[in-house]
Amino acid sequence: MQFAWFCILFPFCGAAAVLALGRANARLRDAAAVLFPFLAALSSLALLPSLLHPETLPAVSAFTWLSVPFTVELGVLLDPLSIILAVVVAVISFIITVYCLGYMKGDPGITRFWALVNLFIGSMLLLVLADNLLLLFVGWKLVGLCSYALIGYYYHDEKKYWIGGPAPAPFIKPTHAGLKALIMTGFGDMVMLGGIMIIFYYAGTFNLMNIYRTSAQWIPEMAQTPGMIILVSFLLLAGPVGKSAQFPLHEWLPEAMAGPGPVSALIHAATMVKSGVYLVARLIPVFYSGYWVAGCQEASVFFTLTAWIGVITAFIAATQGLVALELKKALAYSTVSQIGYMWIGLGVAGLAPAVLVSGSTAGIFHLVSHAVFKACLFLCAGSVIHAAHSIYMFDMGGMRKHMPYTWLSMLIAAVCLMGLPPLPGFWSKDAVLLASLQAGNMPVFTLAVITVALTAFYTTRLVGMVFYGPHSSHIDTLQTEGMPPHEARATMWGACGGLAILIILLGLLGPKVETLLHAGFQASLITTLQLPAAAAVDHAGSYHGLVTVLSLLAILIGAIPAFFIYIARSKQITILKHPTGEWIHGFLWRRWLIDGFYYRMFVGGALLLSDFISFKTEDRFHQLIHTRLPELVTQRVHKFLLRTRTETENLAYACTYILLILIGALIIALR
Amino acid sequence: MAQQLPILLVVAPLMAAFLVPIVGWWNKRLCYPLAVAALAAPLVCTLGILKQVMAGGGFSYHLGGWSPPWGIEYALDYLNSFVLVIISIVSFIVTIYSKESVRSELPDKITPFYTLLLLMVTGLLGMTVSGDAFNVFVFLEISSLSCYGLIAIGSDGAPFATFRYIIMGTIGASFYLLGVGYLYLVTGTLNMADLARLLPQLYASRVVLTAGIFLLVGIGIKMALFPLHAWLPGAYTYAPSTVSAMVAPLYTKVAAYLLIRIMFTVFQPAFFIEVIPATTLLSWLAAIAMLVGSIYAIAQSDLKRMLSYSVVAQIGYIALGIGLANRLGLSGALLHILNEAFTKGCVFLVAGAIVFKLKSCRLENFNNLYRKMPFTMSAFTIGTFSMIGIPPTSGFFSKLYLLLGSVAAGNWIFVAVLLVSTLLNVVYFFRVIQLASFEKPMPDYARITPYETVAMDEVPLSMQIPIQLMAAGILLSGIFSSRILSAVIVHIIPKSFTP
Repeated sequence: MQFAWFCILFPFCGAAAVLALGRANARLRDAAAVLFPFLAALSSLALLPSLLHPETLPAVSAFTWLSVPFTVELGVLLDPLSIILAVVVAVISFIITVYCLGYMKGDPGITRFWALVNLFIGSMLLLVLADNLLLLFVGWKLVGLCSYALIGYYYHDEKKYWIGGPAPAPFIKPTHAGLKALIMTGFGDMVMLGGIMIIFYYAGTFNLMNIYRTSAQWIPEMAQTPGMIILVSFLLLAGPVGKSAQFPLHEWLPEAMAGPGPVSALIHAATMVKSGVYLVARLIPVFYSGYWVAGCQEASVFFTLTAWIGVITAFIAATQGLVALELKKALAYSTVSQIGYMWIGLGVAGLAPAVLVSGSTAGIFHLVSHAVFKACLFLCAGSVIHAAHSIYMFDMGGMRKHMPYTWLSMLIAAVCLMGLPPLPGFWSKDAVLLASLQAGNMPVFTLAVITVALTAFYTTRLVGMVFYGPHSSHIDTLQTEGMPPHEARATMWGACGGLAILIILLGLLGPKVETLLHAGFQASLITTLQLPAAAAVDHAGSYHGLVTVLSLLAILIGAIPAFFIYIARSKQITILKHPTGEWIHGFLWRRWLIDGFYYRMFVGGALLLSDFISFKTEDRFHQLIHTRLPELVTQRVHKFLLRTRTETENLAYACTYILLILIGALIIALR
Repeated sequence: MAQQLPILLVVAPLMAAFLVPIVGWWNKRLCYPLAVAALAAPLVCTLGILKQVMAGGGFSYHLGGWSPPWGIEYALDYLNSFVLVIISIVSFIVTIYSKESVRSELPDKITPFYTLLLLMVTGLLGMTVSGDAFNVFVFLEISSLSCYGLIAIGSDGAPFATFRYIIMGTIGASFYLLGVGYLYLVTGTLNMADLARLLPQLYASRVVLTAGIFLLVGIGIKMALFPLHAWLPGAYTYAPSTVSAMVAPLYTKVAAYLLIRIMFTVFQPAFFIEVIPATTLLSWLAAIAMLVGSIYAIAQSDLKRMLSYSVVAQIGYIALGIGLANRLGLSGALLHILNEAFTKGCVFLVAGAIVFKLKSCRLENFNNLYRKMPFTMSAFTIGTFSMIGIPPTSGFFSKLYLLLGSVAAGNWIFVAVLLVSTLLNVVYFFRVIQLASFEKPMPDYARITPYETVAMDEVPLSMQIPIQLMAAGILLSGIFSSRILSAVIVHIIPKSFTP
């Protein structure tokens, strides 16, 4: 139990230590910055044994901070979900800090970087281990803040850190990207806070376990107001939608790649964007018991919404990934798309009692495997960009010979992303597909399978453009200038290699891990919370075969053309020369026109509104608020008070007041 | 030994007060360590007493072995051991701070300063520890007289301000004495516990009613409750910085303690609630005080004077909590006594530090202060936040309980007044923060040159540490307010109170 507290406290101590050592000694500071995440990772691993004994869970350790006017607790909750997330977050964070040692070497703002990274790790662990929604929200906002600060890390906005382009397309500066992320996720957060408040109003507590236990009582109460549960579902999902970059708040994540490479790996691929998935998984028991125990039809909206958001996002983002030209942006689209899969798993979990456990397991299993392989992909991408001095894939090509270790790691991770057996991506993606098929949701299943093909295509394209084929002219120029691409520093490729080995291990142990997770969720959802669940459908075996065949087929459909175009380089894309093809390409390149719409609507709208306010109304309000009201409140009242002579130097007045009060009180008392 | 703690805590500073002139005559530098050591003793004693009270409830000490009601009794319970701890902590911290400040402001009056300082703390501790109504008066006069002296050795306006203070303070003390005299007339006893036993039969008596009013008004003057506060702003402004920092957090709060003692222990709570509707009067005066004090504070251009008016406003909060006479309200008032002790201590110490460096406390000289004295000013910011009531400082919690108490009493006007006065607090404290943050008053549109570089110029450690201790006290008493509430304050509240 105490390890959970250590988990949270170590990185916060790390942030403090980094700041304290920042000016004293650079080596000591770097050591502290890696040591504390390491200790946090160790503490999180110490939590794993209790996962093997689900009967000891859930364990809570809390102390009450406030009891009036409502209870505010500081506490940690250990259940399978939080333990898995804590381990994933802490271990990957540690590996990424090791990578940062090499990547960020010599950066002028490195103290700030280390402090923010440590603060982020601590906040993220606080988020996943918190035992109540209020504390969870504190962690939630803190990770958002760190994300903002790290996206805009290069706040001088030098040209080399701009992303976007190439030339006719607009560029985006890091500070702009940070602000965009802050505003979009912040919007979701605020809406979610409204949902949390409504839950508190009905449940009377922020504590997660209490909310679960009493949900069968207060959800029917909530259902007496028609539409209230639907409203709460929308409000609560807004936060995760923003944080996990799901449709319609997914547009901030591609730009978030303006931050340093490891930050993209840590925050915008492996951990923070998963907090939305985590929260949805946290909320499943609430709405599930509302739907299946209390019988409120409205509660199913939560699940339908989750599944559909997931599949729409997965599809949209994958199509955009097909045309991306920046390496990290392509990976960002892929992140958005893969998180969509997790949402599908969690969404279908509530749609049929048979899928509750397997759906939750599928979503979280995909989260785990995605965290590992996407972190690996991003770290490798960071190395490649470092070596190629360009963010564009068309500026690379043929890098395999120059960076063999990175190539190998990235290849393993990419194959895992596609979902080929026996890597973990295969197991977890199939679990998601199987869950959606078992839930009987055919449209979601079909769209998800199509997305598998798209994923295979863009992943092969990415690997091919970067590592295969002839050198691009950019690489040739670099070579003639005497700066040929070279393998990354040892801490960097070591971290990538470590993650690649982890992928292979996780793949070989895939079915075991899935069984373990399944048992964990079985214990926490069925045994502890006593949610009703039906046994799996009897034709599960045949479904399993069908899903495997379909997904492998989809992968082949996607990967084979991409192989010939981008790796073997024996075919050309002719479809783009066709006007329809060109139109589709433009549509995808402009991100389904959603981003532009947001800019026009909200940025343009806000500017219009600000013009209106500043030129049309502000003067009058300024007069009222800053001149007239203070005059009334302070100056006039002050003048009046001066006339009452309570503040004169003349003692006679003071004594008169004493007499007045005395006589007045005597009259009242002796009347 | 443990049984002797109540008398030790009074005797230690009293004896030291007589030693200081002798030692100071020999070597002036020894006064400071002697005073610090003499005030460390009460700190230990009061903590021991609080521990004892929390372990086994109240206990009493009979002076000279004379049993009450003939002898003087020191009666210890949750209420006064709580206040004693506050007094001893704050006086100890401020005395540590005094070294450099006194050396720069009163270089030739070090010996009398420490003598009077110790006497004043003796008086405050004695007032709180004593369970004898007349003995309280004696200590009240000891502390008041030494306080007059301490304030009078301050800057130019000090003698005149002290004169006003003497006149009003003496009126207050005589009112208190008159009240005690009337009570002695009808009961024949001065012991508080004895009075509490005898008085309920006499509530109809006009003598008792008059006594109640005299006590109330007398303590009201000492407490600087509006409109009886006229002595306070001048006295605190012109006093030496250390004295302001000692008197502002403690003096009025000890008077507030006395008010609670008289209203809810010596008399039954019902007397001042029903027989004389004094609580109603008190809470309305308090509500006016909160607004008026804040508005006057806004009008000031000298930090110390502004803070003095803030004391007037904050006394309003405490008086409101007492006047609400319900569980939440009184909890708020007691918590606010604790909060005020740390917060006012903190901001007045900072004011002293600013005087030490800038030689004045005029707000117009405050530009770039955050860059000159970053540590001091961050402590000031914490104090400010507590004044305004931003969590997790203690000010938030005391104000929260006062708000909840007003809601429980069903009086929405007080709720509104509390909120408005919070807003006014924001106005005058943020004005200081803004002035101290920038080179020029905002908005500074015309700037084209880069900001000038400002060298850090912090106060010495002997001043810095007490300031930071006070700031830490604010945060800790806020964070652990629930603990303080459940361990100490709930036991203070009379049983008859409704939530």
